Amino acid sequence: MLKLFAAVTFSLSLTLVSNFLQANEDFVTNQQTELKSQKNNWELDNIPEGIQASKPRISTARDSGIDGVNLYAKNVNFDVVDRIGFHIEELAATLVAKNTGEPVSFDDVESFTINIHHGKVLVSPEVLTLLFNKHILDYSPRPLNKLTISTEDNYLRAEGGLRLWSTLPGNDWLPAKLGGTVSLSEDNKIIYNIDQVKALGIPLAGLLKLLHVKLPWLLSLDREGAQLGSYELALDHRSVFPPPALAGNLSDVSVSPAGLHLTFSDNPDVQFDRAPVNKDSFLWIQSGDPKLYGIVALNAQVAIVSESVTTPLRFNLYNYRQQVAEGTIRVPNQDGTLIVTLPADTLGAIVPETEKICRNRAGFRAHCPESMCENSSGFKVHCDDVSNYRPRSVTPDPETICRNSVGFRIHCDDVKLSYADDKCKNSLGFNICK
Amino acid sequence: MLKIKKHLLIAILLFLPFHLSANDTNASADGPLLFINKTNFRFFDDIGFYVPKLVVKLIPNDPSQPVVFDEPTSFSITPLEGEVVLSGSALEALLNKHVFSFKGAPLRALTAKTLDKVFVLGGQMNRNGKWVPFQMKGNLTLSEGHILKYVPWAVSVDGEDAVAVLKAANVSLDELLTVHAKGADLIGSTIVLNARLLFPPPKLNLNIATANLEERGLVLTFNQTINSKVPASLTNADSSMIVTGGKVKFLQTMAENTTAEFQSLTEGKEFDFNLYNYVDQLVPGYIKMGKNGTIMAYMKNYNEIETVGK
Repeated sequence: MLKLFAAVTFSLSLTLVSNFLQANEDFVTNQQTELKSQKNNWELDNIPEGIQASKPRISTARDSGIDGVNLYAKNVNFDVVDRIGFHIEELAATLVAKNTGEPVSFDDVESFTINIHHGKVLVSPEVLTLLFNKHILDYSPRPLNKLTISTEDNYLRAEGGLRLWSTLPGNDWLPAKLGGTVSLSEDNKIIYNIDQVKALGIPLAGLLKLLHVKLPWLLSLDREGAQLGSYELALDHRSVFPPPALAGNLSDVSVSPAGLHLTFSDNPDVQFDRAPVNKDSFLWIQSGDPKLYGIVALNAQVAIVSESVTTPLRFNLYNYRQQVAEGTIRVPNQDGTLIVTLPADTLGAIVPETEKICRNRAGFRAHCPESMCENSSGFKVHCDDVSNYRPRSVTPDPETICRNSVGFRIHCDDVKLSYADDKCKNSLGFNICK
Repeated sequence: MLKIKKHLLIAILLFLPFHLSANDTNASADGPLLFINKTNFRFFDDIGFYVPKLVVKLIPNDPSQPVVFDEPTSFSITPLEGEVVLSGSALEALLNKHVFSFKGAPLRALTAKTLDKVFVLGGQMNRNGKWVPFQMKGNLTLSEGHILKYVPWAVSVDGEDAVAVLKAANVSLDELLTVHAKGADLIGSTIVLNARLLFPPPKLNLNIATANLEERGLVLTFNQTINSKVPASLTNADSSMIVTGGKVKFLQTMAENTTAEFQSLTEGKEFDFNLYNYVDQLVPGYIKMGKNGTIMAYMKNYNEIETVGK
């Protein structure tokens, strides 16, 4: 019995000793073998065909070694900020971090550029309207105000307020209409060839040309990517949109009732793999290291779709956190692919901001903050609701009163425009301060 | 001679010459903290612990690298505060599916049962081609915060009591046997086991405060003070794992200084997590993200997965 007990204990002990490692090693070996297989899959060269990529760096747990994030988009409303963006018919691009080796951070839109290989995008009239009003003309003093853009075949119209020299006449905007065709310049800019200018309903384009009065003499435009020529407005697609900057040449530009069509074809040979989604509207990151939040997806395979089966995906770059927070992420299989489903686009077509119907004493439409309108009983109301409104008498701070040469009040900021050193002169050099 | 308490058993553990400084208990650049609440934490299959409440530090072997969940050998786990329970079934799984799972193993069909301060190990041993049933009962003692010693005080073989014979002959085991190997020693009649060799990776840096045998299992407690505030559940979950700080990598996704919470896809069920097969749990689940970058992963409980990984 003693021998038997010893044998039992001996067997137990020896087994525990001699076989622990063996068992563990077998166990680990199996796990490691599986991991190695997965790693090989994760580290596959997923760079789309046709992209001349530099040799990948040595990959680490924090860096796939691949420069740039390769992105393909199809049938997507891609908003950069607010509603300013594009409807992407299809687009192949590489997002390139300005600092080589860094991931492309979606939270730092100035840290990378979007290099477009090929594709077609549409900028709708509504988006053009927003682009002008909220970005290009979002400064003061400005020559144009509250533009409304409309498009038709080969023609683009703009209607809004006009202020010559950005100052005159007083606080008011002259109702104006512009019209023209769109073309592509030799230096690959979008040219708005203005052949129609109306102010107060009076056609001026012919007169201006007859008198050889060039637009920059009357209007000053101070925005990167937008430059006023003699009788045209040049928009540089690489810089006129909010960041991130676009790179890639336009091969064609056209106008239709749907909007402004931009075509890129720098590298038509770039071919992405089929996105792993059964949708006709998606964003597909095929390779590279995008960073969202504090999370880096290495050699990412990420498809972004809408939960809707009827409306295209709408993605808002500046507001992606909100969208993703309202969406769902799934890992469909072991290869690490991520499927991000965002809420259905409920924004639909852009509805122009309701314009408050207020007019100045001269009868022109003018900006009308609610505090300036009262109903017949004297209560503050929305200007739209005022049938027989009467502007409240406002007494500005005496220090802010500035007048032009003929005695009309004007924005004091306008005074500072051209002659910062002499705050009492307007852009024409007249004394205008009281 | 260490005083042997009335505890028992068989398997276990270990020791690790591991010493923590006060700073080590912060979630900092050297590794994230993992807060586990009411979760069954498996390394693989049924091998693991039930965790009523525990805070652990995850430490990558290479401080410059993240903790890679898909590569358990790349990091270690240091329990700091809380308790874990190794149930009898978990110990059985450890012995049958890991320690003695290799072809030609001399023991099989091992059973493990914990009682109040007693551990009972049974099974079959192979003697010259014949499988002979045996059963042992004993106590378990903890010393130096990381060593557990098992001293059988009752042994039966094929239904026969063997203890009386040993006593009559005044023989201790180590006079008959010489066992000296990494992680396991037979000293006198005491079996000392090293947990690092018992459990699959990642390495466990255990600094146990108490080890008690109860009916629910072998209960290990840890009482290092943590300097980090225990995070609240992102979803008011009663059962979940929350990892905060440091760099953590799942599949091809690396999160840095992020808070991520993992919980059961099935509402109302306690979370059942399997480290080696977590992706199998993630695939049928989904992930939500907060606007601030927090991650909420809803995973199918491992015990609810019918085929994958089993």
